[in-house]
Amino acid sequence: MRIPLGWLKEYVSLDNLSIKEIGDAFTQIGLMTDKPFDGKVFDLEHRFDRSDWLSILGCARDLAAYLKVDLKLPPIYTKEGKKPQANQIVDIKVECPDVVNRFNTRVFRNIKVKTSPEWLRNRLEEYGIPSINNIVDITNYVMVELGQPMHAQDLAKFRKNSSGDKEIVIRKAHNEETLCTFLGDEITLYPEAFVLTQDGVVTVLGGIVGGKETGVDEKTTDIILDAGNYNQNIIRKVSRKLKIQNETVLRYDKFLHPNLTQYAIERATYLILELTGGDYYQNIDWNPKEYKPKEMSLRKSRVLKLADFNVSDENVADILTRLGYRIVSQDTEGFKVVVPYFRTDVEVEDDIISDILRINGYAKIPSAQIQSAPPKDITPEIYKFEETLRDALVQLGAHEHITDPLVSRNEKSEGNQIVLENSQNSQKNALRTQIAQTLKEIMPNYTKNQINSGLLFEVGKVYTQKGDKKDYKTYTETRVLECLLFDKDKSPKELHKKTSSLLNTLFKNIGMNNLSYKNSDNAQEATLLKGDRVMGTIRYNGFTLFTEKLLAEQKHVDRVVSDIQSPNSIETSLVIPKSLPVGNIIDAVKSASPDVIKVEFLEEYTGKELGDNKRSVLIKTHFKPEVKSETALEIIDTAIFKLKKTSDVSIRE
Amino acid sequence: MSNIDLAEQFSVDLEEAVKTGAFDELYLKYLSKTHGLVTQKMKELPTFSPDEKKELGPKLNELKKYIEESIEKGRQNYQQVQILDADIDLTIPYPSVNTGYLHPTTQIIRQMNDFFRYYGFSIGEGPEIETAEYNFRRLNLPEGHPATDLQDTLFVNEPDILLRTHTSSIESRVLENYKPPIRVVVPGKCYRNETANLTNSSFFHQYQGFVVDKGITIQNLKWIMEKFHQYLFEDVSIELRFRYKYYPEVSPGMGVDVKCRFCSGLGCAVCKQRGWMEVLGCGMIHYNTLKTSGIDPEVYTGFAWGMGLDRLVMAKFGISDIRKLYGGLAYL
Repeated sequence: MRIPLGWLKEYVSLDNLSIKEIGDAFTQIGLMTDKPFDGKVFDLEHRFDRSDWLSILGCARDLAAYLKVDLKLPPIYTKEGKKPQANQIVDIKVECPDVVNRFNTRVFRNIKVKTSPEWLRNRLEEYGIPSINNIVDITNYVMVELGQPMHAQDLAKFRKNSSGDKEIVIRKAHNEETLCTFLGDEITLYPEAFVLTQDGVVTVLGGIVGGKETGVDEKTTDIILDAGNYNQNIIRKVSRKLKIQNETVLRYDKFLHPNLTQYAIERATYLILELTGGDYYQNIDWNPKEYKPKEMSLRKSRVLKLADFNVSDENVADILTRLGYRIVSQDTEGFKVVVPYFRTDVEVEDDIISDILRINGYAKIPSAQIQSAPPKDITPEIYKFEETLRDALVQLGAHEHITDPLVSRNEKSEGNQIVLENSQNSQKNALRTQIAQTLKEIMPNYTKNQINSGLLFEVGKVYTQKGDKKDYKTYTETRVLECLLFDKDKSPKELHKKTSSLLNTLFKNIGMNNLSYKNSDNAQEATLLKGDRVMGTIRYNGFTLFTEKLLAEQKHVDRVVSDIQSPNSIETSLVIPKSLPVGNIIDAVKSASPDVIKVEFLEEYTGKELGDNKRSVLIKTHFKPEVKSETALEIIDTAIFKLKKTSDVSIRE
Repeated sequence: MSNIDLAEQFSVDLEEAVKTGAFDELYLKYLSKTHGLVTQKMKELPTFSPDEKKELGPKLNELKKYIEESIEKGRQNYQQVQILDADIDLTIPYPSVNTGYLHPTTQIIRQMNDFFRYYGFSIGEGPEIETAEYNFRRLNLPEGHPATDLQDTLFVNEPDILLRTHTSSIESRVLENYKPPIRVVVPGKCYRNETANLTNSSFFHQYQGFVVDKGITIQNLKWIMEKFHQYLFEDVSIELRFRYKYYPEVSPGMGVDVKCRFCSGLGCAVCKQRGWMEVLGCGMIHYNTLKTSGIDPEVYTGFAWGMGLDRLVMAKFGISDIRKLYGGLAYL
């Protein structure tokens, strides 16, 4: 909200304050300065809650309360207007009462439309609205001053209806109906919009923009002035759909109170009579519903509950009165107050307390440590597990990356990709279905920096949808650990070995064993299995793991040795078929005797002397300290004997 | 071997040990209780005549003492030389090993988690594809509320299914599923329909926290914010400013600023002449939010705060573009 300093001073005395002090005061009460003061205007952040803060008077009221200075209200014309003759009344017909809450009108005759006086032109221009003529300027001035949009139409341009009367009919727009705005733009309407019409012709797009047809110009002598109150949600939807944003919409899509129309029309009447001369005639105030003042309780006990802080009764009463609340009664328990009609944001008692605390100053509230004991830890196990995975991979030399889950829609996708309905960016209009896709794009960052080998990973989610898009249950977020290896100097086969051993060590470190893999239809990747449960997939240069599934299978690894012993160990070199996984050998030796503590894989060798289908592996078996070397050798022999039954395994001499 | 020979041999051995540092071995060679050369000589003493013993005994003791002292002195000198060795170059890096690196955002999240875990907070998690119910309605934002404009929503299926615009949606879910006392922080990904530039992206990270218990007041909120900022900025004298700021899910709401680190509060281009830099938003959890979640707001009160993480991460790591943070990095 832009607040010209000169205009602000109309309502609140700021003579003894510096610009910084005024800016700080605005910031404290909730209107933070958005841009530096430009010498004339404060630019304040508006958070869309307070419709009255879209008016200079509304901002001035809170500022005055905070500074404890008087608020000077602008003059209004409260006397009754002249009674029109029956045929002079402009009838108001509302055909869509679900949209219109109030439509307050007055008629002015014999006015002189001309250029506005300098002070009015300057104020509007400082605010940022160009001056048109005195009537249009007055409606804009009152809108900025009080927050109520208004609209004036030239009565001479109204056509008479079949009964010979002039009337305004408010109805829903017809499909494809058009309006030429006062700026000359043609808008095509649709039935959710509502319009003001005269003799069937659309003159105004309700709550959004006026038309050219009945616009006020220097030839105008008689006008009908309206201040309406409408369903803000409709105005929000229609203005966004038609992509119209202006000062009127800015206010009408907030919660304005119907009573504001009366205050605004009285203020506009004062200015019209002052600046344009002419006569004011009563006309219809279409206001079918009575709005009762909102009475609320303010308990002292509630103030203590929220803030544990005592503001004196006198101070509370002063703050509330300055903000426009009316104190109905007061006792030892607290206050009964009437909320000012323009405070449509006040919903609950805590909002009133909020007013008291902010005007009293947040800085005055002390700070205090929480006294209660910490509650039970409810951190999900998966969160902790993914942290463990990150650490395990970093220890193995992998770098963590986080990539944007928003990607460009894949036209060839099988239909399970989630596409966003309203993304502004065609490169970011869908959610990823795999992380490899975005992680792969990181690799050039390394090669450009002459880093030719590396290990990258990301712990994140992939997103899919299958079935009825309106059903939330059809959306799936899968937690994934994606790992990618690259090495310019290694062949895919060599890289594949590296990938497998990385996966093996990672699993060992997180306490997983007995994994197997199955080649999938896609020759590029194999499925990782634990029993018959899919844990992920492996490719020559990386793997994808489903972390929630891993969590269910992983076991705690106790690697602490508290009793230092000197275990025996024996290194054994075996010749085995290439197709036999080393894991089978390790498992066989491990299960050969309870005296075996662990079996380590040391190295692998393939050479012509072994034949094409054979390889040799070197393992190291660790035994309990009390195991004698003869017994240890017997255990190894037993294991190999068992292995020989199913595979061609022999000790390499 | 006579004592003189022994002493001479020791001199030769000592010279060698001074170079290699093998003083333990030297000690054992001469003074080992079982096979030391001097020890052996001492063991032979009873075989000598009384006169010879008188002469030889003190000499052997002298030699033993000399050897002990020489070894100790030699050892001390050797260690000192090693430390002061002019060949040591502290600028030569350790031979390269593959050390991995955590993403800067993960590092900051962990740093913050450490702080809040210490104060008894759990870590909360939840879906990124969210319903309007948890993302807006339960946070006191009814359909069509003007404040919905504070967050430009990316819709998956308008109006009910969307990408969460803030981590507050987890607050809705935790409040629904757990009974107070509750202390939770939520680091997480969020999405908004924004055009990407240096500091804004449609994908970003937030760090949210909330507490619900009996007797929780705005004073507790101020206290934890003070401690958190002292920790975050590693400065116990950091100056904070609490001001009113509207957020739909809290009442009273607060904005928290730190005194501008660049101009010390005088006003500069970085802080838009404010003298203060906005860090986060917070407040007492709205009466309606607690009520909708089935928590009696007359019995329990709570506070919540939320902050963007990315700018903080970028500032700490000297990254100028958010798009680099999430896709444009490499670690050396």
